[in-house]
Amino acid sequence: MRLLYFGRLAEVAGTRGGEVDLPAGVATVGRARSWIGRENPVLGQALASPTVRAVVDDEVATDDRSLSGATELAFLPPVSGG
Amino acid sequence: MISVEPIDPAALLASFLHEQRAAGAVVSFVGTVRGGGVEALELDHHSSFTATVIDRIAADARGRFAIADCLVVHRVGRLLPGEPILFVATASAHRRAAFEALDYLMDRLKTEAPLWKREHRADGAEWIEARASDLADRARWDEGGGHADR
Repeated sequence: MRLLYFGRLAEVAGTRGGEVDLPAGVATVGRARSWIGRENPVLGQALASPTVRAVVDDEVATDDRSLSGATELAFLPPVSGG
Repeated sequence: MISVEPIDPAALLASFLHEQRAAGAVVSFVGTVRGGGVEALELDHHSSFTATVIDRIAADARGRFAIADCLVVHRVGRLLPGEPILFVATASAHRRAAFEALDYLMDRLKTEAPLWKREHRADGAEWIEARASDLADRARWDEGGGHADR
């Protein structure tokens, strides 16, 4: 699956993201968030902010959203204003 | 619509005017990068989701106001002060719908378009978040906001 980070989250992550193999059991957005947090606690803390939105294949997703069949999980910080 | 290349507001307006020449009224807005110590402005975007949200906002404006059409073109990437960053135009039979739809489009774009700005200044770079005044402007259009839409 493709993980993507934008804005200040990409800066915290040190990457704009890329392809990853999620471990078995990381089947929802919430679990992906927790898994990323275990790999990178600083990023995990940033992702835990209620202002960060998860978007799965171009749809805003809640933590219980299944990642089964999904190709992309993007984490979006608050928008800046156009 | 998202543009990674510099946008030409005069050409965009000319084309929109040509398409909408029989509409009756056309209103346009151009946003430019402010100077004031900013050396460059970087706009991060999502390659598909950003355009999806902008298209949805434009569709909402078409549904909500008596407009013939609207056009939104947002520049992304690295911009210099003075460069156009946003072009919005609306067309309607009578001016008020075009003005109101443009105002509505701007308020929603400012608070909902998935774009992330970083200002580069002499002393470093900083990510910018939507201002409280932008959020208050957006709230004017919510249910019971007191606006007559049509």
